[in-house]
Amino acid sequence: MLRQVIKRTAAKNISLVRTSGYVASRSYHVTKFDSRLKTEYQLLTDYSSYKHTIYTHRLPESTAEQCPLLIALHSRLNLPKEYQLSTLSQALNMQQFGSDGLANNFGLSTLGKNLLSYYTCEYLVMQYPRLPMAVHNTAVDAYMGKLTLAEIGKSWGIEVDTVSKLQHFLSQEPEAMKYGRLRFQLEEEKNTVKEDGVYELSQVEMESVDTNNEFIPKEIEAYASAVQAVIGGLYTHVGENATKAFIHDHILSRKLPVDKMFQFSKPTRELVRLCDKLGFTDPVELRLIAETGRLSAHAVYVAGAFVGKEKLGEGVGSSLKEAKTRAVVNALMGYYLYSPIDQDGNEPKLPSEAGYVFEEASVGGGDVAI
Amino acid sequence: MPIKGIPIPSVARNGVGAFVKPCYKITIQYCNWGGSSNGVRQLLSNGKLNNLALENREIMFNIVKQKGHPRLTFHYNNDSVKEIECRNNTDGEILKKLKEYSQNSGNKLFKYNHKVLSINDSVRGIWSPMHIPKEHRHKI
Repeated sequence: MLRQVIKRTAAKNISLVRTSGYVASRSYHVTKFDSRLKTEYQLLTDYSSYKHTIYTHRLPESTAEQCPLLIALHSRLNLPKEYQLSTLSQALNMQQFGSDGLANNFGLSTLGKNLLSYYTCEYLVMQYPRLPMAVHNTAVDAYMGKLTLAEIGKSWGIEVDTVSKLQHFLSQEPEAMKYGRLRFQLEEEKNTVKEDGVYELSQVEMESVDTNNEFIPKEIEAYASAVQAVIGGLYTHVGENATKAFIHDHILSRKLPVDKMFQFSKPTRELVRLCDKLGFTDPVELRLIAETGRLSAHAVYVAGAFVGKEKLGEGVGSSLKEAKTRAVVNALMGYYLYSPIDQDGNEPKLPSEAGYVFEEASVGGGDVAI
Repeated sequence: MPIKGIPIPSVARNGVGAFVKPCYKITIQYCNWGGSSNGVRQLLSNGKLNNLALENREIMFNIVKQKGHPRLTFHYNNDSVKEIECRNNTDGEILKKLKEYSQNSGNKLFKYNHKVLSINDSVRGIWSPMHIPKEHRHKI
């Protein structure tokens, strides 16, 4: 790791020295010439004559129908008849301007991602309107973060295409088989022998390490984008209602451990501020409800957080301090995890559903500042 | 920041919304010469396997002709693979095995000596001796 860092800084210094001669052109949004786009022009200065001559096409439906992987995936996900197998194959293609010239899943995956984030946020906001911003973001990530989507993609039985052209030829596998697999590796990567265990990140991978020193492998990203693209494809074929149902069935049906997502720094102070904000006139008091074995090795205390005669929360701990903190956290959770229900005790209707009526209860009061 | 979020992934509940069959691929390996593959060859020729494949469209069937004893390989979505020997079995026995293992979850079998296995908290809550009236509490 350290070696990598040193290497990188060294490389940066060199580039600094090199570019020092071109101060005027040094900027971080310099247009890079992408040779893969096969740009052609008549005159270098005539920008209107610039043209990308890269030829991308969609897989013919007749070829896609010959791939058993695609047919199996189609019926495994219970997709409607209108959903073409060629779209499903495109959703699994992550290669940018690959040698086969097939359209990739970039557009479908962007569409799917936006639909996912809309329906996930809508569901979370209606389910837990008082969730603090940080926890809300974490919850959205738990539903549709890359790791979760990759897990869903694996549970759908999507396979990665690791077979190189040579192996493909030697095994006499039908050509159509590869269109049913997740394609993201370059031909050179497929030929390199990979061993399990610790390995050094390549220069490209090092650059994708974010500020929290977290690294998401390319395979995880590919799986996530495939799942998003399948959702995007569903939207393009059968429209919004089916897509919404699909998202609710496959993603929002997962169990969200939202009560384990809170990390309080100063819970007591926060509860006091919250009660202030809610306009409670009585002060917050922490009272001992019950205790046993104070002089023994295993004492148990039950503390409660009260406002006047109302008990907001209760906690059990082996010391007075622990019981108090638990009581306060319990009270805060009771407020933040409030979930409105309608008159019949059902979950309230979502704004995207027909017959939705706005209610005050579904709007949170905002975060508390300490 | 008053509150921080702790990143915890959501837990899959297959069947609560949509159900995705855990077994996604079955490889049937047989020999065209050996006597131990008789059952598999019958299964392939009498159309019973076709019917099974049509009933289970969500599973991909891969038929491999290779010398040696026949073998069924089941691939599950939790990365587990189960290999089943089917040498000298009749077509009916093999069909039974195919049906049994294609409905499997792919997890290892285990014995669980309790009534309920759940990822949810108890609905009733846990009984506490501290919440009964003071005069009825047990005194040490």
